[in-house]
Amino acid sequence: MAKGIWVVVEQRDLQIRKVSLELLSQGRKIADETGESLVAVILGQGIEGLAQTVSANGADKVILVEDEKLAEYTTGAYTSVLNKLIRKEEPQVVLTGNTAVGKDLFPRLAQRLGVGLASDCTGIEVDSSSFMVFKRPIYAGKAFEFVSSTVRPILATIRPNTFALGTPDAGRTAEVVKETADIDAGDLRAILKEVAIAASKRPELTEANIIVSGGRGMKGPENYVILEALADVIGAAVGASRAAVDAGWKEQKFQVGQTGKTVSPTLYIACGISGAIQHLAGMGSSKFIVAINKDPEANIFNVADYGIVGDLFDVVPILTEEFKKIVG
Amino acid sequence: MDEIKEVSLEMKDYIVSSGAETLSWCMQCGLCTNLCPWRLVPGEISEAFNIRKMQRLGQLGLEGFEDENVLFACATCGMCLVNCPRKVEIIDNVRSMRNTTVAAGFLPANLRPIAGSLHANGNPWSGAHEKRAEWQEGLNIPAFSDDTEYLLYVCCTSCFDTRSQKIAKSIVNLLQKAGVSFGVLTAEENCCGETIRKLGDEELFQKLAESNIKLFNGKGVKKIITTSPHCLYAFKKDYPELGGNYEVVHYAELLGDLLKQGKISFSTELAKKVTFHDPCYLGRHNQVYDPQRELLKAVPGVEFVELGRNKEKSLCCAGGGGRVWAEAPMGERFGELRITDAVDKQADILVTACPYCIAMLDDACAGLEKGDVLKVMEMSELLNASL
Amino acid sequence: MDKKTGVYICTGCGIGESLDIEGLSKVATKEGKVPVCKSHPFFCGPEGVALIKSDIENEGVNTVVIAGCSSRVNYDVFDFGPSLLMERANIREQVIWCHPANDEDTQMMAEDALRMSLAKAAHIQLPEAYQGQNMVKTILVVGGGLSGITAALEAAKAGYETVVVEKSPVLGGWMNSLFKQAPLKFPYDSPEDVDIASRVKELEAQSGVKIYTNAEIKEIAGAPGMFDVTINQNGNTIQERIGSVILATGAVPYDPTKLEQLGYGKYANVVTATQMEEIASKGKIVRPADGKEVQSIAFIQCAGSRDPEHLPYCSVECCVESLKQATYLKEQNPEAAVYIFNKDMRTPGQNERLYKRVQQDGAIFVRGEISEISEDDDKNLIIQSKDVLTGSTISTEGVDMVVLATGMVPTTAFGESLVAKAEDSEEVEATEPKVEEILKSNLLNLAYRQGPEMPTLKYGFADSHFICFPYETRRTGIYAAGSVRAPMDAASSIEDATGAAMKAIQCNELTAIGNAVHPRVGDMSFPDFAMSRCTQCKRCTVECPFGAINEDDKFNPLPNPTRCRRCGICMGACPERIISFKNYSVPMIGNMIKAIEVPEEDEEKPRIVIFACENDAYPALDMAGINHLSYNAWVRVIPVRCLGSMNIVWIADTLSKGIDGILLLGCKHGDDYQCHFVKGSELAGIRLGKVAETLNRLDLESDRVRMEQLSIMDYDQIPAMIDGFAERLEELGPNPYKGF
Repeated sequence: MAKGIWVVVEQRDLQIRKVSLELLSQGRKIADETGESLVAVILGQGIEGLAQTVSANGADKVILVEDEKLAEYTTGAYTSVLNKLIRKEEPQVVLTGNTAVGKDLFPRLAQRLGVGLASDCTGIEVDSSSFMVFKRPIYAGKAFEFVSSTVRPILATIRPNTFALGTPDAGRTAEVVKETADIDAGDLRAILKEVAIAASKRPELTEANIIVSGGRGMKGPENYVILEALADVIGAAVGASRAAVDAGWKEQKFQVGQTGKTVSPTLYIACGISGAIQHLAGMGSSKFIVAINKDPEANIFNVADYGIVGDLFDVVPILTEEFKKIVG
Repeated sequence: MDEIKEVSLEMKDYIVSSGAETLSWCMQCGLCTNLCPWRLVPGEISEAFNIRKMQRLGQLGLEGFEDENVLFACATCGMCLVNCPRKVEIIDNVRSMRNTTVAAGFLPANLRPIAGSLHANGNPWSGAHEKRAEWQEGLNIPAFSDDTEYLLYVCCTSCFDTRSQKIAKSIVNLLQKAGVSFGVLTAEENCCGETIRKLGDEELFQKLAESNIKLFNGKGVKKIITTSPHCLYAFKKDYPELGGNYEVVHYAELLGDLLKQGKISFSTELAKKVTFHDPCYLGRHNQVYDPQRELLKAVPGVEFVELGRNKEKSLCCAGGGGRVWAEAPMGERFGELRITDAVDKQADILVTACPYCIAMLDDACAGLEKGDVLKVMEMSELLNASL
Repeated sequence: MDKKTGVYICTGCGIGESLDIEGLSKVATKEGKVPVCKSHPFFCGPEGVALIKSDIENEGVNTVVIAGCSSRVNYDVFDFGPSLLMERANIREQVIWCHPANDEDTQMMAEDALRMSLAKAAHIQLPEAYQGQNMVKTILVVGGGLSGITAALEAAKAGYETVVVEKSPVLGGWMNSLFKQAPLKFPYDSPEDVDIASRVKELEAQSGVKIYTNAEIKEIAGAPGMFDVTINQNGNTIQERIGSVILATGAVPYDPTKLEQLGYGKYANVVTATQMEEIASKGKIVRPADGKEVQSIAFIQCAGSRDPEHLPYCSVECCVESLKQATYLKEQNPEAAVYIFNKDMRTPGQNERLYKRVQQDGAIFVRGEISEISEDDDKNLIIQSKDVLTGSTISTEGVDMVVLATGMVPTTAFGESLVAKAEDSEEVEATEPKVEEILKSNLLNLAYRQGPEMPTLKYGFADSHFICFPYETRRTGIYAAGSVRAPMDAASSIEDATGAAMKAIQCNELTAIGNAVHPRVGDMSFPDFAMSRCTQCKRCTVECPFGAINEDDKFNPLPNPTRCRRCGICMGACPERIISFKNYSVPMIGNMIKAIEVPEEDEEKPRIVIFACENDAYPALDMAGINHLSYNAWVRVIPVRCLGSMNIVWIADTLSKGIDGILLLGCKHGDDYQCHFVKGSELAGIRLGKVAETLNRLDLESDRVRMEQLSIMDYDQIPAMIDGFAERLEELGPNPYKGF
């Protein structure tokens, strides 16, 4: 009899990804509603310390699988381990975030287990007959479908930022179980040799909660320092509009919008960006948009939640100061 | 050592049945490829996109045309179409070939939000449908009824984009000053669907068109004034086969006639050198070249100069065919060549009469940093200022 | 004829300002002792002409020498009737327009020009037109296909008796075997019902036409205006007296058994275009292997054409035939898949409309080389071809049938070769004219010593001067029309046949009054043979490009004046110099040469004689004058009818007079020859080769004689040619025979 709601927690360099915490938070609610237990599964090396965090975020039980071969994510090793684990423990549901790892791991896992996969879901409903119904967008977001699975375990990947983070309860303790990594040698077809990370302390654009972006109004690459100052204070990523990239002030990888990166942060601060309508698609799904622009008729004010008509060179430093006071 | 490609008559027949009836007429002379504006810029897209080859792949049902850089590079400017010695309907062929992939769900990523917005909001700009007529606040435009002669149909861009709204407002003012009897149904309208049809989403186009036709016919619309040449094209050429038969004019045509009849005149002097960029959809696609020139020359003080490539030879701004939402690196945007053209002619103002052209040219002018020597204006704005 | 010579020196066009007219007149009056010598500033105007006319009427002048513009202009103005001798001294284009005015050398040039003209005028006689016995104007048409029928109808409607000889039992030829014909009427986009039957009916109903079917030509003897034609019809012999002949025996399809690499003979469902017409005529288009209705087809154009291994040329109508046949299939089944593989699509005339229509019907055109045709288990054919436009190799799905669009081969290309191959071909080539191959094709069976048929040009088609005069074959009075002349379609054949009929009529009319037909239209002179001195060497007979000379039973040459084109090649060939024309002969030129004044060696004024052929070289010299190009004033120009009429004795005459160099200027010869008499300049070149040896033995440098080929458009090279030659002569030094 399948039991338990599992969340495969993603970690990198011993940092738990935000989406995994979102899932634990929502998973907790579902677990309470259905009476199932919530289990967090973490693979890696030296991950003991993470058990506490996941407990605080709602897990009833934590399964840790430690191995040198799991230190960095590789498709083969992780699939092999999870496949065996799931077959052994027979959970009802296994969830993870629809991240690069989730997209790579879960389809393979589903195939190994002989079950289907609901991917990129934007909602979970508990259902009496099928236990869980997932909402997912189809046809480029023109429609939604609701899917459920007739077999167990139910596998699904969830879109980041779908669920809210709960408040961690430091007092919670979960049962911690350690499992050995059972990896088939045949699964180790690719060996990770090296991970090269762009040295940036700032959050990655597509991940960031807050983005400060500069456009043509910045007048030159040297002026981005004022945005960076603001970004550092509030823990934001720095982006650039197409115009700034065109002018050569920032590299393409910083471009937000269209062939640049599509972002959906909670807060997007647009500085000196006019918001030409055809370029707006990339940032449209930001939760809150603040626009700073000298031109009161700039189109950006149409989509902004809050607008400041003013010279960004005046406004941004003031903002930075005010935030410093709040953040401390 | 080259791989043998299998001819697929089935694929070719599918393309033809999607609307490419003249595909087999092409005799592969190559004039189209040579006239195509992509030849004027360097880059990956320019190297990949060869309209003659694309037609040929369609004729033989071969793979290769689905590549995004090939299939979605065409801006439907019509330069090839009007010069084709076989009168091949090249743009219909492009549209049909796009339909074969788009109908199966393969719209390029950057266009999906556009299609999604059209579905959900009836416009491509993710603007809330309820806000479509907001720009009309305070303008006292009557609703279309039996008492109004024309329906004024405003392009989605001019409904939702602040900059573009100025165009709609100027046109309204000009029409009112000239005593034209017109009304609007903006709040109930949907996008005309011209561009999404060119992108190959025939289903979505029909959904939009049918809803508009139902609305227009229900209200007894017989004559339409459009603010955009794209809408002009849609109503004139795409709607009749779905039951929408109207007398359609672009505002420039109507104002041109009114100028001749003496119902409108311009008194405020504008002592500037003015040039005109012929939008592809007003010029080549609808053969309207003269009214705009007559109107501009009627403004006192205006020194009118022609751009190097004008009228039937006008160079596309690169906004048609869905490319207003496309990303091309700087230096590969042929709209920029228009700005250079205008600056070379030492024009003070580059005037055009299409919201997409305005978006592309505004962008190009700012990108090339020519804002201090050249101003880009929509014609209605210039005329409005001279009333 | 008792000559009273009048010399008329025109002083217009700058002549009066550039020359000492008095001095020039003295050449006429003092040296030439002419009774009448006048000058006028504008002889080609009404006043000038009236002046000459008055002298003719009142002074009895019967030999007119006009010194002024070139004989190529104003010949209509200076036409004083056929009973007058006329000579033109070219002192405008060839003297004052390309040499400095009031200059000693220019003056000498003009005076020599007049001297030569006077010498010529003194020598020539009025030609008498040749009148044959029992001359007729009946036109014989050999071949009763579309071309033959058209030519016969046109000739008959113009009022000429016509005889048509057709070897098969019915008239109509190739068109009889068609299901439909390519469109001949507006809007030219659909095949039409074959109309050959109505044309045959029209011909049969036409008065003045005799038709012999099941008949062949046994022999054509005689000459234009006087051909004796023997016709063999079902074993009976019929004689006809004929004025001119039109050869319209057509062409046949290329032999498909040579096209195994395209599947013919190998795969059952590969057929030729001819077979396709047959299949279509029977009703439903079904394929040979199993009678299955054809739903998909591939046409292979240039099957064995434009291919050095088969027919190197394009046959012009095969693309249109395939388009036509494509419509047959589409008519039967609009959904049928049609491929047309081609190297190019050639749709001459109005056929572009048919091409458009077939495209609109959905046919797929693939331009590229076929790499393979193979068969699958259902006997369908799979074609693999390079597609030039996508730059890749494509392969079709199996098609039911393949049609090979083969080219056409003229009937003149078949037959037994009569000339034995020369043993040592290399040596032969250099010193003798190329021996021509004439096949015994059993078409005309000419009783000509040179051979029973027409010499062929390229690819077996009858040689017609395709650069300048496509209708003119190498046999006077015999005209080729239709696909026997060049590959062509029905529309062109009709036009071609009409043109040939007109040429045949022209020939009849001109021959009747003793005129040459082409290119020396109106020339009444013809070669005279002083047979008593003939050594029967046959050089004249063999070298005549037109086969005008037969042989009599005494082995002497037998000239046929109406076959003659009056070029004088025979005159140039004869080592005994027994041939002459009344107004053009070896001694005439000899006298002209002698008339030239050659300065003494110490005067340092060399002399060059240019023999210029009248077709391209003389006009080129005129063009140089018109363009005021200058060259040295040492040259003296002697016009000849054809460089082939150049007799070697003239070289001896010229050199022995002390003239330093001889330049022969003639038309281009070779594969794309321009020589209006076909072989003339080539022969001159060969004869020159033989002279070199003789010259060297006389201690005269062979370099003193040079031949250049040029066309009228090369006039800009004339100064360089002449000056280059002069430079060489300077190196050689003056002619040692000067002053002898």
